[in-house]
Amino acid sequence: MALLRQLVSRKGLPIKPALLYNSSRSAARVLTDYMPAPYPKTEKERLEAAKKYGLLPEEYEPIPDDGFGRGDYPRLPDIGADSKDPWYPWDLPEYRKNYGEVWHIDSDMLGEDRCDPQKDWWVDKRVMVGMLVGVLGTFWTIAMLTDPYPVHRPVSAKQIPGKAAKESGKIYYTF
Amino acid sequence: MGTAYTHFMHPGTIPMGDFQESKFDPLFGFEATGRKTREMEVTELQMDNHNLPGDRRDFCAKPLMEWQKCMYENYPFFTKCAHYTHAYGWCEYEDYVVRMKEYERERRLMARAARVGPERAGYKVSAVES
Repeated sequence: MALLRQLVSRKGLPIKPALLYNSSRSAARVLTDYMPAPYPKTEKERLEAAKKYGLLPEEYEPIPDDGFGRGDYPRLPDIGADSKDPWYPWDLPEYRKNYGEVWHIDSDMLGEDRCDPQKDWWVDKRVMVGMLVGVLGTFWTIAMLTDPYPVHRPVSAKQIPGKAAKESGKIYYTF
Repeated sequence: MGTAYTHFMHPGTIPMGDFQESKFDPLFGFEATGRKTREMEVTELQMDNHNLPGDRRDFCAKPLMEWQKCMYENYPFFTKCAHYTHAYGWCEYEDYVVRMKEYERERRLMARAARVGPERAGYKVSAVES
């Protein structure tokens, strides 16, 4: 490795550094690269984890070690993308996130098209349920009250001469 | 007036439409002359071979099968089957007229039953009693 570094660090050598950098930049990483470290127990581990995730030590709070294997991943406030400022010049406008910003553990659910626990719905949840029940109940009441008075065409039943008619002994007549 | 209005304002004067069986004996009033029965022109086997769905196995099954056969044989020149198209439509129309007549007969018999009482109304005799 040291030899390789020597080779590429000197000018005029046939190995162009850009080629090597390019391969390292585009190298596919394996899933273990993204795995969190074990749950931080000491203060030093806690500070290291906060630095790793780009958070201030007072911001960093690991997800409780509940056996789901979240390790030292930080617990972030549940703010959906819909609640974030749409006019801020985000680095990733489709996620409303900045480059290098740590991702929420449930970020797959907090997208602009998914849930948003912080959303201001303007209407109380109880009022919402009341509107639903009210509208459905009104239509149900109307349907039940008008059930004995149907609108129908002034014709008798369709005459289907088949096995069912034969078994019930039904005979169809004309005029 | 509309059926809903009549059911509400004058209950029991008109039949319930195409989802209720007739209450009257189909031969009541025809004792002297009798009634002509409607017969199927095609057999169950023919309809099975034609793969005809159950709701199409009415008294217009034959013109329908002829029409579909013509469409199959003359694809894509469907104008050649204009005669069969109209024959099927005319058959369905006449079937509908028969149903309208049945409805009107039921309505008049209901009015008559209200006039003369249930004894002479000509209600259908249930199969249990006979």
